[in-house]
Amino acid sequence: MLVVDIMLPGVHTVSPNDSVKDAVIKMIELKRGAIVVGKENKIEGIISERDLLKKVVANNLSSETTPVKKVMTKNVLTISSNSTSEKALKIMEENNIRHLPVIDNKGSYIGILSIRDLMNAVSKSIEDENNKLAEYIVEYNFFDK
Amino acid sequence: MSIKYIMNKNVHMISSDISSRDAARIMSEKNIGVILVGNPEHIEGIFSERDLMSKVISKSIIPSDIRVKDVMTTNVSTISENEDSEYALALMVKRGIRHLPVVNDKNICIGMLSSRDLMKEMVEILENENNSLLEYLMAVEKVKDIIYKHKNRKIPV
Repeated sequence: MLVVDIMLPGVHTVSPNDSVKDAVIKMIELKRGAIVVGKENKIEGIISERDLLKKVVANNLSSETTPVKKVMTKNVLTISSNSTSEKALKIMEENNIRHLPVIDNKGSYIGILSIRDLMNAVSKSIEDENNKLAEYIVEYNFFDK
Repeated sequence: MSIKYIMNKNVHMISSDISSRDAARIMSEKNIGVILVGNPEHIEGIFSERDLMSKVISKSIIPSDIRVKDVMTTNVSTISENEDSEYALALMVKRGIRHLPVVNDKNICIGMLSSRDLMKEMVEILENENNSLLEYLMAVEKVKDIIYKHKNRKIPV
């Protein structure tokens, strides 16, 4: 299974100078736990619920006057759309992150992959295989052939 | 599988009277995204990163100015430690939640079940089942070969 088949497509970003409040409103609208900072062809950072908890709320910062660039995570890990689900899961687990921006072969940002969507897709694919194997065994009478 | 083997036994709880900032500090230190409010005998609510986003940050509230009791989610669903993982997953999907406090037969909270831990467990169970089914199919092929060999030798099976 490839990342491109599991990711949530769409280029949703905020600007580094946007307020934390505006970024959060966008995250709530999109129902996502993280949003990319920058542009389609230049990812500058990512801001996640965990960043907000640790850097904004725990430090009692104002969401209206704090710019996104002050609390975002720089040095963003990304994943290629042609990578496998196994590779994506490995990166997420090793780095303890829940979201990976997805880039195409030209290096443009094209979507986001969350660990939740990934786990759901992996689980569904294994379950489908399981059902097919079980049906095959039940329906096929091996010893009469 | 019973959820008592999957749940996280480290239950973190806070008082509903502390500020959302203090709650965030505690959650940040423990590196968790959700925390229970109250005590193991009486769960008053649950407080998550999502509550912080939708009820504090997006409303321009200064985190130290608002108490957990004013932003937590109340009417918390719980689950008995003896329920199985499939029931737990169905309950989470039905209620649209990602965490379930686990209670014993005295209704005391003894653990926390997250949808991610549950999914991991379900994937592992399904993978094991797939392996068993594949092993069975391979064994059947082997038996067919043996029977074929015996038939050709005209030796009764």
